[in-house]
Amino acid sequence: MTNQVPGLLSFYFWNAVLLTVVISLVLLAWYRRRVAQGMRRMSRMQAEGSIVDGRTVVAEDPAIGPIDAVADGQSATDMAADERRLRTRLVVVYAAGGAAAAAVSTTLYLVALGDPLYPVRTFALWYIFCWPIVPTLAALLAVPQRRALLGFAAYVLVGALIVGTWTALLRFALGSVDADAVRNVQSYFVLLFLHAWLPFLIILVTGNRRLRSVSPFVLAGLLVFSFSNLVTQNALVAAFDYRMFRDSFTSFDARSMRTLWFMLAALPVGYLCWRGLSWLSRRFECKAFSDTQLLVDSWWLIVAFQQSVDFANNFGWGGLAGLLAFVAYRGIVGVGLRSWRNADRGRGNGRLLLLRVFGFQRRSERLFDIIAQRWRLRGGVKLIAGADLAMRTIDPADFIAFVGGRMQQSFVRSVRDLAGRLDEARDPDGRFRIVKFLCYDDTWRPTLGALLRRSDLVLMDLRGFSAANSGCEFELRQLAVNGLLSRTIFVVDAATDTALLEATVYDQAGEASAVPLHLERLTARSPAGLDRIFQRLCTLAADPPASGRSRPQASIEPPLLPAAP
Amino acid sequence: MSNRPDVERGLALPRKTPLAQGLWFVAIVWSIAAAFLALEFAWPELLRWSIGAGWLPEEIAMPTQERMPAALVCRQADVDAEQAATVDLEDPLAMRQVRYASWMLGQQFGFAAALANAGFADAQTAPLREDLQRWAAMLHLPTPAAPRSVHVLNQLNDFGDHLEADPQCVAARLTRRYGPRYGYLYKFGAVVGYAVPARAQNIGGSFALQIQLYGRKAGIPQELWLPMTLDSLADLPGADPREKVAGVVARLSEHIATSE
Repeated sequence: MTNQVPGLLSFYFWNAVLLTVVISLVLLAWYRRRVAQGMRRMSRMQAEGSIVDGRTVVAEDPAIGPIDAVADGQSATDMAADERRLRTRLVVVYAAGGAAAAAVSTTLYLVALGDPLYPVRTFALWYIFCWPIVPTLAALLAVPQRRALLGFAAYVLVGALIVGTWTALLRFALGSVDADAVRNVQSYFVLLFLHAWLPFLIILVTGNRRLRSVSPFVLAGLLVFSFSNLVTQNALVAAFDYRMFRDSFTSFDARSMRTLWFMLAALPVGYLCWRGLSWLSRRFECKAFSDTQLLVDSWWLIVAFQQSVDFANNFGWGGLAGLLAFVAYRGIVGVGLRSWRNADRGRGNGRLLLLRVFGFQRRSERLFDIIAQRWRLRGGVKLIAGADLAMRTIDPADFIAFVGGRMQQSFVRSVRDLAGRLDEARDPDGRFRIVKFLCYDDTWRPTLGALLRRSDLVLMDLRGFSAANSGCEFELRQLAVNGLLSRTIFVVDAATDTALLEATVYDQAGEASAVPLHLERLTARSPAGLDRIFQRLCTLAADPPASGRSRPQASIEPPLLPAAP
Repeated sequence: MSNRPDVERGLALPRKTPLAQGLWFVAIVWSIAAAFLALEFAWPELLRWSIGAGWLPEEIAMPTQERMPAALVCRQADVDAEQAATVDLEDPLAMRQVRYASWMLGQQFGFAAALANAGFADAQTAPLREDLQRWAAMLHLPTPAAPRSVHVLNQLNDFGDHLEADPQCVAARLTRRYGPRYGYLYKFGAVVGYAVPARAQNIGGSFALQIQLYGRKAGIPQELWLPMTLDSLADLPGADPREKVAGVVARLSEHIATSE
């Protein structure tokens, strides 16, 4: 009799959100542990002794590409213009999608009120429902969180200013005595708070950089699971109307019966979820959407759902029409991105390889967040995965492989593995992907060789570098061998053994071909320093080598990689 | 034997055979399902505990007329248009009779509804219904009619909602004529009456929240209604649950019949 729909929807939805946070954290920690374990092991191929001796597979294999793969240069103006165009495209398309969703929500809200249309109120409602556009654009444009929060505050204040000014105009210019600017602004703030506080909080949590790589994916699965729970519960209630069913369960109390029923129903539901997530993963792999698109879509779904719960107070189950806002948003975004295509100038000179001293999770994540994420509008980012960045770089395909027990597919073991991962195409939102290479202890060196040959720029974080970091020494020698020293920015700090750094690279490159190194000193927390590094990378990318990159002078450790099994 | 390293198994551990894979799938799915069930059971318990501790008002977990279809809810305007009282409000004896009749009306109504929902035939509950009519007539009220539930499993909730909706304006009329305590006394009697058959079968806990709220608002001392909200009647005097619950109801009746 009572309209329990709002409560039911809230209950099952927020349970899914709560579990999303917990399960995401558990999975990420587990995944990180597995990556760390894998890095310490040998590949299966070597264990079985099937390396093709002496073959420089990586360097010559057509699947990997030629050694001198530096693209024709784009001018600095071209690169900046391209990025501006892409940013404009994202802003316009996603703002239009958000505005359409807000229009749907506003219409439903006004229908629920049943009052005549008032222009100020209609605008205020629409503007309030538009609020998710701000976090959406912040995520898509890789705006730092502090700046995004300031942007949100500015959005709120601009709305209040418009509502206040408009109401004042109605009162003083048109003589509308009912118009009270102060009261309208107050109502605007109250309504915005009531509608936005909970989804905003969820967006803050799921948008956390540690969680965001898996949280949308986990949320999608758990929402299906959670609402299947609601459906099975209703099915149980209906089944009990039949005496035959009732008589079969007389020996159970209500809670045991509910538990048994749900556990049984969870199996087919779980299978459906798994199929659904696998489908999403395949769609991601074939570039139907980017990881950030998936994230912001999940936010819009959360917002639309929260509005549905509000509408359910008036419309019962009809309140689910609030989800039409999500349909409108996704439809507009899909059409917008398809019809406003990128003027793709190819990959340009933007292929960035990120190298680092392993073992400094926090600072590696910071460098990754500020530079790698921003770089994606200019070019692809590649890196050899490590436990330090595992939680930042896991994507839907990795997630499915990991949970499905097929993590070995994510590790590089052969030429085919490597070739299959060299992804240099843009996603529908115009961004390149961050491609990480999970390597065994005996495959990271050949992988590095291959990546160097497919990179235009290198950013190497050598903070804390010392003689103990033999892996970095190998990387430095490879940079010299591949003639990439002039295309590399070295991030150093007071703890970096710069003498060892110079000795290592010059020893390999030879004094004659020695080039000055691009050293960037960075203190522990320095946003300005990271920004400076980003700008320097942009300059370097827009300044291609005069005559292409020279072939390696000598291979100190021939980059061997086993052939595909 | 393969010497494939452990990491190749990803999250999974024993995944060599289809049976092992199936078991792994079941383990993952049931872990997630168990987490959902834990939340599903934990939130209501937390709410109950918070209300019991006095941190939250009982009303927060109660059905409200605002969330019910208007056609099923008592129209207060109709009640307000009626005659205010049919007895002398200053006469203590008359008011004691009204109080007792309100309690009995509710109790008989709840008891009859519970028996009907439990599958008792009309013939078996006929004496109860006659009693009910007598109490209603004594108070110049319509005889309360039990709600029809679409689903058997929703009968308990539907009765609680029905009582709150008060479609025949029984509680609303008592409130209008004699004061809020009388309306709550009727509702208190109804939830206690509905709970009695279950308590007699040693099944506890139904309408605990309503008993607490209505009992308090009707001015019934806590020690009298508290046993009806507990999961077990083990600490009460009596040979069996039936006798124990009969004792609780008798003490309530005696208090209502004798107190001012």
